[in-house]
Amino acid sequence: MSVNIFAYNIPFISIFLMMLAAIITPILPNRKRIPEKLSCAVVFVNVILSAYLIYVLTNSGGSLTFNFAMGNFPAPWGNELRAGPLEAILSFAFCVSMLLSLMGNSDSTAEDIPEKRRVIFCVLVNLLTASLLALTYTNDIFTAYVFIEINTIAACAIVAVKESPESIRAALRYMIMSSVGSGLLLIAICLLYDLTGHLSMQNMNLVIKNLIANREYIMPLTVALALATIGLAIKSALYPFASWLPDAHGNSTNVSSAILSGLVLKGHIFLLIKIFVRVFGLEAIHDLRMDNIIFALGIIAMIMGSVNALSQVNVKRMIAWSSVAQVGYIFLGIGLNTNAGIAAACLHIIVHATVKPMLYAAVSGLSSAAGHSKSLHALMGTFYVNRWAGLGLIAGAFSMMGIPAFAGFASKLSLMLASFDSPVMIFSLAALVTSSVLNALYYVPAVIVVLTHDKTKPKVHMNVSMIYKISMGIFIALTIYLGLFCVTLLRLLTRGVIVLG
Amino acid sequence: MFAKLVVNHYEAAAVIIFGIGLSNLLLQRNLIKKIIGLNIMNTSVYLFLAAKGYISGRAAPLLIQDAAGNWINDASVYVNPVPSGLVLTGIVVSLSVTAFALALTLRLYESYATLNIDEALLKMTREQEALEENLLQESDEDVLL
Amino acid sequence: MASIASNFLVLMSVLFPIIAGFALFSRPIFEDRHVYVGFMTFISAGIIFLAAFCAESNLIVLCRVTQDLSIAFRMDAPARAFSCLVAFVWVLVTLYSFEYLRRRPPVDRFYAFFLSTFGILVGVACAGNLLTLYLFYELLTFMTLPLVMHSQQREAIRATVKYLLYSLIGAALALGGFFFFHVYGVSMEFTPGGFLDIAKISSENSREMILTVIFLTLLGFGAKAGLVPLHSWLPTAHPVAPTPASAVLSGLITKAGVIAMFRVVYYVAGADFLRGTWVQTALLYIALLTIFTGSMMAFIEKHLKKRIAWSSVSQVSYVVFAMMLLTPDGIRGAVLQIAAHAVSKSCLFLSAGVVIYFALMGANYHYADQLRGIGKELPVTMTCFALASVSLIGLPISGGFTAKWYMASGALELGSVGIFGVVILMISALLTAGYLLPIVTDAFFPGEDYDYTIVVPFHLPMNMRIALLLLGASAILTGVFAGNIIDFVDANMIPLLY
Repeated sequence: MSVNIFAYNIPFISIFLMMLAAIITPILPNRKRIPEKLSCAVVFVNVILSAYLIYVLTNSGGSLTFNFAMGNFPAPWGNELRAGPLEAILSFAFCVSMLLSLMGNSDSTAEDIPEKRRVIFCVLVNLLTASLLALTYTNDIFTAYVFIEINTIAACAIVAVKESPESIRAALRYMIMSSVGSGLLLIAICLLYDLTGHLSMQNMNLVIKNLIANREYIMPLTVALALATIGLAIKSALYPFASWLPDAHGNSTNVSSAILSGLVLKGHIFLLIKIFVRVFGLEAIHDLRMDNIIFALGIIAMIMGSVNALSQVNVKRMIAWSSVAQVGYIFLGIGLNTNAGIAAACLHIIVHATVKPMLYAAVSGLSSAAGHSKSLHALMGTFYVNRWAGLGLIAGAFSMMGIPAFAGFASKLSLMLASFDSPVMIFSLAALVTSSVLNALYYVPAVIVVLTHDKTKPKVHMNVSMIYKISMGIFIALTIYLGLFCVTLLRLLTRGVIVLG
Repeated sequence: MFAKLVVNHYEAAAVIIFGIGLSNLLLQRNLIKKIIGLNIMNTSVYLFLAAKGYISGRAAPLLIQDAAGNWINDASVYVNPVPSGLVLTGIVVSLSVTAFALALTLRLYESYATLNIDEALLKMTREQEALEENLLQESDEDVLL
Repeated sequence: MASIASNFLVLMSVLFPIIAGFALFSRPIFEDRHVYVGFMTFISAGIIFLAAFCAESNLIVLCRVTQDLSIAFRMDAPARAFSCLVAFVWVLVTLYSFEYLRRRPPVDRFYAFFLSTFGILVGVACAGNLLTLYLFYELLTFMTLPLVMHSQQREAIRATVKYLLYSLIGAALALGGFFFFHVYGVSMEFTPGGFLDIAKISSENSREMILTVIFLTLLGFGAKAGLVPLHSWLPTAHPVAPTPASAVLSGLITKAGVIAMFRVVYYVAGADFLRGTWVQTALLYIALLTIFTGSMMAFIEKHLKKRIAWSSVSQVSYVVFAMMLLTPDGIRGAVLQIAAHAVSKSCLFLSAGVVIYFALMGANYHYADQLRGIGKELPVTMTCFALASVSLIGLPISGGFTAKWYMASGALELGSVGIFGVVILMISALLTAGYLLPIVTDAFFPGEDYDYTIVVPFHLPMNMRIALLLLGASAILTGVFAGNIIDFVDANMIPLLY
């Protein structure tokens, strides 16, 4: 073991801390927003822990990864967690994004969720974070399934926590689609277990490699892979399966939308990446022809998500459809089926996990300046009421359009460079370029509306809370940082993808 | 092909039941029936797992004694315990999902007095249209976009 | 001058106007916005002139994105020339705009974007690599959108959306090109003679592909310059903007597209790579088509500002035509045409602004045939209009004349395309005379039946008078001092060719 004992325990500690926080929250006094503060504090501790883990892993010399055996039972009997650079970076990004989403939307949370329910909300957020971290770190595919279900319940519940009839309906719809997805994943896991006799990822990988080399059980393997892919695609809202997303993200309270778009989708996508890279291996994916399907679906999602977003008048629904398009980018990267492609997809996961919560936080700030209306033209001139939110919207829009120096450009560039060696280069080029134009077509009008003075409206003055300003400032700084200095990050991610396989 | 189906008849049955459950979950409009479909789907997976874990002629994975009263520690006497563990976990998961889905259904019923998800949507859109008309009447000036 | 100060000067010439512009969004700085804007424009122009004349032409890296991508600036010869032009026109237009904007609120927003556009335009000029160019090119689109939709009327919003759509399609094409150049380039830094990796291209046999990419990139950047097929936003968007904005949109911002094309032709691909290829021929024909279409449409158009906008479509394509000749005379003609057109088109728009909104309250003269006898009321304005027209038509001693002279002599070196080009240039010159001169003659010589008693002398505010006179005079002076410009071009830009 080349890492120190503390770093070795971090994957477990961070999951455990979140669960512990979830358990403690209900017995805390429910005033002065103590439950929320606890959640933020624990997530913050996790940010530091994962930052430390990244530091240790990149400076450990020799091996970049380690397996953590729960209770010191080795692999086939015990449950294993695995930490490598990719996992550490993603959990860091998830925790940062979670923390900023909670902070940036705290005002709208206070307005939307009655104080009594906020305890439950915090429990759910803690559970959600725990399940996300577990999805990121787990090395055991059945554990992944269990945490996916925890994740589903928590995610649906934070949609429903707003208590309006439409959010309940959206939550139900989300629940049903999620159940379909996890059902498909479950049967896929069972099939794989049947074929390989293992549940831990690297053992499955060995058997699958043998099977493919001997051309045995190709059909069942394909079916299992297809079922797992479709299941996770439903959960991560890949286009033809994304009909639930705008409802769920558009009707929930802002913090829920931010967490759902920024994190929950990404957790599932990362599990899919793990299944592709770690369980099957990229060659097997290519042999079973899943890469082209994913690639094509990714391109369709990029275009259709934006096309649907064009016709929305509700800003939150517009941003939700834009998430569909962004998920398409990630799947495009996965569909390239190379280490560089998957690293670019991971970079886009991080970029989107930063930008989308920022956009939701910005919209929450703007719409509260416009008297809680979510329709686009009610936001007219709100830039002048809440400038931080306006700046956030502009930065987010620029990032989505792929203006250089903003985060979106970095991931587009890396996706593009990753696709240059592949035979499908021209398609991804066309898709990236078209979708940039489409993105601009709905984000620019939104920005213009926000910047337009509305002479008919009376002048509103709004006190923007300090915490909002701080989190917005960090969001914007992160967006620009990712846009300008992504190269080290990308190098680390590429190394992470290589050691993941 | 057919012979394989006969050999694996448990698995084949599990997959068929899974299909029934899945189509119920997707196609039924009544929420309670949908949730029943979800449960059928999960149950089929338990059948599948149990069938996979069972090895003909062996005992359940609980320690048993031989004729002399000694505990038998030899693994080849028992069936594979892992699938049973998975089934147990799966049951817990599906129970909680079902409970949560039912709770949400109850809330929807309280709001719309219907269990049919389409009717609920219809009522919701009508309400929204009424709301939007009110809004339009309020703002009659030439607005942007 | 010490290097660090020179770097700082170049960076400030880009950043200062942007910062000054956005400062208008924050708390009130001065009670009188005009003083603030005037002061800031003046300082920015000073910095830009200083940078253009004194700064060294080394590469200034603001920040690195990846190993070979960075945001970088370089004050090289084209950048110096264009920044000076921008600063000169901008100061005059700003001077003009004070009076004009009093009747077109909101002032704050207009000036915020107007000032930032100033900086961004300089950024386009002195971008040191393709990434920076693309960044500033996109920003230019977004910063000018609020200028176009200033009035917030339905017509303006439609025009804005059209402008946005066309610009984005153009930028998307350019972005596609950017990705290719990143893979097939030695570096991304603008290098005289091109940075393409010729060895890699010939070994992979991808010359045709790269030519196609260059062609598409040029078409994409051509969207801003109003090049066919992405031209039709221009006559819609330019006229609806407030007049000072239309003046810089037509006079300078279209040139940003030309500058971008210039960079792609001479600094990315290299003139040698393109000479004699189908790309050169195709672009020459496209430019000629645009010249002809623009002049013809301007001839037919009755709406005054739209007519001037169509005229821009045609006049800017002269530059593209000259630039794509890839001969010394072509470059000379292109540079002269950029300068001549920038001042004369700004002057035309500003005069049109005076005519339309100031001559008589409430009796807006939007159409060319309503301007009979207007010269009696607005002698200064119409004189400047006439001077600018002379330059646009290309009558001798004006800036336009020398530009077209070099263009034609460059074109004749090129064989059949060139001869065809010269014919089109002649036709277009006739058409230009046909759509501009009648306005002038009608204005000054309304004819026997004109009722001179209704003439109300109009007092033109001093700001506007100065701006108009200086621009009108420089439309002629660019011709008079063409020799000095040619010397500058010969010394600095002709070496780019070979």
